[in-house]
Amino acid sequence: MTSARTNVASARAEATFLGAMALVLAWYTWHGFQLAWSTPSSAIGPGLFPRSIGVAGLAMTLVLLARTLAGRATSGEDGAGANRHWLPLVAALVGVYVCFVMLFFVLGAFLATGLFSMGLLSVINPGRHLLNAVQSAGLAGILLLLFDGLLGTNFPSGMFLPF
Amino acid sequence: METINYLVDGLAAILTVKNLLLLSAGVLLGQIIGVMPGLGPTAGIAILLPLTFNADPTGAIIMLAAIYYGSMYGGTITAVLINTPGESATVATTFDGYPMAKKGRAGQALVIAAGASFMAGIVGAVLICVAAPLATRVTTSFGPPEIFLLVLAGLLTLVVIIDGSILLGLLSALLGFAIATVGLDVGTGAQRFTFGSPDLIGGIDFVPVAIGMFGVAEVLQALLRGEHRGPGSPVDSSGRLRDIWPNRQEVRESTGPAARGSVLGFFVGATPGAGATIASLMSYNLEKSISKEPERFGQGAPAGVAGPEAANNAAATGALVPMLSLGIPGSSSTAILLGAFLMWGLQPGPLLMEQNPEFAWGLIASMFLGNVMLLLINVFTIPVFASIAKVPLRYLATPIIVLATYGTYAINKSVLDVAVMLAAAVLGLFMRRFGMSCAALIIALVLGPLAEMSLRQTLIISDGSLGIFLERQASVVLLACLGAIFALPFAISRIRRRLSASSAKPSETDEPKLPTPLG
Amino acid sequence: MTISLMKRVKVAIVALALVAAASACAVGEGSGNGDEGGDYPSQAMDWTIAFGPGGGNDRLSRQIVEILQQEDLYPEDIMLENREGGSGATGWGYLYSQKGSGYGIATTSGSFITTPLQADTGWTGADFTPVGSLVTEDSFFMVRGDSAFKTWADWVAYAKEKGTVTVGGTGLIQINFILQKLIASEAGYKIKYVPFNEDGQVQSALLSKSIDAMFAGPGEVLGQIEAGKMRALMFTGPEPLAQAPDIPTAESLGMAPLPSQPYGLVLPPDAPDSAKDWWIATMKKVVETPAWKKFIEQQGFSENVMWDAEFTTYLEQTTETFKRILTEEGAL
Repeated sequence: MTSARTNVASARAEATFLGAMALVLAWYTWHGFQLAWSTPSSAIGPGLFPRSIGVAGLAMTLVLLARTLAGRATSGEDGAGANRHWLPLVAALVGVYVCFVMLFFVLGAFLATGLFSMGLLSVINPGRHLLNAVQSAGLAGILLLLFDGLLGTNFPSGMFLPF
Repeated sequence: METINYLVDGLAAILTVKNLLLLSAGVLLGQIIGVMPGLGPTAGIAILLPLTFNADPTGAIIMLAAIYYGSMYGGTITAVLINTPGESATVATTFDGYPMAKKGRAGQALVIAAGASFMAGIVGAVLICVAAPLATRVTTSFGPPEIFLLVLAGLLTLVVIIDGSILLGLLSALLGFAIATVGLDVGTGAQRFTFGSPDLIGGIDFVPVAIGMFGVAEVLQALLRGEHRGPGSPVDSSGRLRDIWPNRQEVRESTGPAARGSVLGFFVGATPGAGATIASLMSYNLEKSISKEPERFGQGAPAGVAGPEAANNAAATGALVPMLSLGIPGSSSTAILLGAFLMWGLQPGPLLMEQNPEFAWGLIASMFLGNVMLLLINVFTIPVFASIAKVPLRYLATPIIVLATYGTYAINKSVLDVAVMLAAAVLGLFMRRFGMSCAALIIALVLGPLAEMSLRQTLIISDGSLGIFLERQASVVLLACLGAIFALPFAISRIRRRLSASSAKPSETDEPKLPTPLG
Repeated sequence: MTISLMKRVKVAIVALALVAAASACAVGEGSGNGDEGGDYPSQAMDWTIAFGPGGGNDRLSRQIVEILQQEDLYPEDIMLENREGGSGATGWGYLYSQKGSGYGIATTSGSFITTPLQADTGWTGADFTPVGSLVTEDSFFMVRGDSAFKTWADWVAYAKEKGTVTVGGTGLIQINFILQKLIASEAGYKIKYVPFNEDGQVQSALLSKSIDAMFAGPGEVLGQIEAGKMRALMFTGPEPLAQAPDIPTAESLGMAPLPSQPYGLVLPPDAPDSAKDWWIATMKKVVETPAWKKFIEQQGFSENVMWDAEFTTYLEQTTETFKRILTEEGAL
């Protein structure tokens, strides 16, 4: 029973993914057709490859989509596919990461890295606050020394600390 | 044999305490740089080049060679440990290196890679003495048509790497080709898919995509699977630190591939263009085609690490041939070396070897010694790096993500690169979930622009006729090789089947020990 | 299990977002690039090389920085970075984004003029703060050493008889292409132009008989000429090059003067005057050093020094010339 239900769910997820892919590829192909396929001196133009790639990709995606809809789920990651919260979790991770990159420019590399590391660690390694804090500070410090000191990368320093 | 004397003289001139110190410092520094995701040999040499201007030319060359090999190997370390190729030439190493690490044999994979690189170093040094004229002929007879055929040989790896659904694999490759078309079209000056953004004119770089799609996506997927809820202690006590040596079977399985990869890499490396990348992919391709157990490739086969590693290392030596014999840079790293030559007041060109033999042979000798030093230093560093693979995910996940971000940002100080990296990571997660192939996408992304460019150049030269591939001698030879590579797996499996059918009756319990024609 | 993970992730996001918002507000007030006052060089210099290692921009940049360091002219660090891609669009676009700062800098070459002509870069050369023009590089017209062409006249005779010849160079809308087009229409033959990504590939294509001829800078091919692998039939400069006095100049062959590759130095748009003045004064010292003179000679460059607004005018004039030629030749 349950496996049948997850199969249906995973087939639906796959169909959605392939549908999105088809849209992206259709858009790509459309733009490809705006580019000339040959040059005035009758050499290959900028458009030939994008057109061919787009058309072939679109065709394949549609075949795959038809197969999925016909009930023959092509493959799929087993464990991850069953996780109902897969998509929200991916979105959450992306959100946290985007915040990290924003903070990078506001707080500087050191503080942002420490905060991000603390935040992520409190989720994946809960309860060990001291260890997490030490790891975060150490990571931020070592990377700062390595990139700013040795490699001269000059990361943004933010507004609270001189580094 | 005169050349061998030159090499010995070159070695003798280099073996001083000061130079050996420079050598070990360079290898270590290079390794540290190469281990940063996104920073490879080109970045390593470029960053450390100013340091070398204060040294005398010989010392500088030694240091550069050391940095080069150190950072190349650094890229191998990340390829094996966190599935992140430092540059396009180590992509093939991830195919089996990372699966080996996942099976708890990270140390073994690193030792095999180091051993294969060392062998390639020796083979390369010997070949540059005895086969430099032949390699020079490769350079001087390879124009756009031949480069296109070489790229095709590299793309054949797609056939080998795609497992599961062929349709999904091909679709992944097409996505890679599509991403590769973004940016300024060098052939016509037209802008493709840039939508007026100046940031996209330069195209989408391979490095952030590889870091996101391989390194970060791998960590995120493991987190999503809940693997961080494993054992909680930060140090794994099981398995001793010194347990890094490959067993006898692994050594046996690696030797042949390393030898073949070395020779293949040397000659492919002599082609200006993407020598090392194509060489490593071709080597992987070849090893899987002729293997008795091709199904083990991708699951952690030592041969899949040894071959490509030897090939990309030998390609580095091979790339020296056009530079030393013709003054043509064969790779971006040798282009930097060429710039450095000019700064030292050396005139690169065909006469460099005649006019400054001590310098040219000093360079070859230092590349050789760089390999030796790498091997020595690795005895101490591999256990340290290999132990990283045993740290539980909950402690490793954050550093990997942060390091990937730092490395990506450091390349161009571009937030766009970081965004590309994130997008690639997310795409990588979706692709894994629905059975698509990230490796196929990356190969297509790396080789796509080269394929398009060389085909278009070829067709301009030939006025649109494909007959040019049959008119040029070098093309015909390459076409024949291509046909052979394509036919080899079928031929070999057929021979095997026939042989095993006839030998199955006498000894059924014995493992079939068949003489391999190439092994 | 997953639920609790989700919850914790959510809390973390909210917390991070709050901090981000708070600090974004704070930054709005405190921005403005600090001390651009009297004591100009007080920070590290961020030096962009808009092309890959080994090219003209790369060699020039590294040489200038070496002189600056040897003579202790710049008191702080200088960080060199190759930001290659899109025929210079990436690197110079990066410098453009440093608008208002006096701590970004880049060398410029012919692509500084041609790249904005072909792509929507969002900037042109005249937008940047000029330091000055430094050198120009003329080039050799090269054929294979084993080819039948001994002189320029041989080549023209062959090309005219054949009608269309195959030539190559880096990029399309580039000085190499302009030169090929100019000499072909003057001599009366047609060309098929094969664009390449890197100098090495063009040389390899010539040696492998894929193309018949190319233009190349003296730094790249003097060794080839000496060894006889390639032969130079003509030099685009007004005077023969000291290292190759036998190669006739275009003018001595009766051709109109040909453009050369102009190299210069610019700061970001709207850089403070203090920065501009400092760099002009310093570069005036640099171009007088023996190391610089030696470098120019080695590379086969010609001195072409002009400062400040004069350089901007020069850039604008060259842009007009290139644009006119490219339009006439139907490439734009």
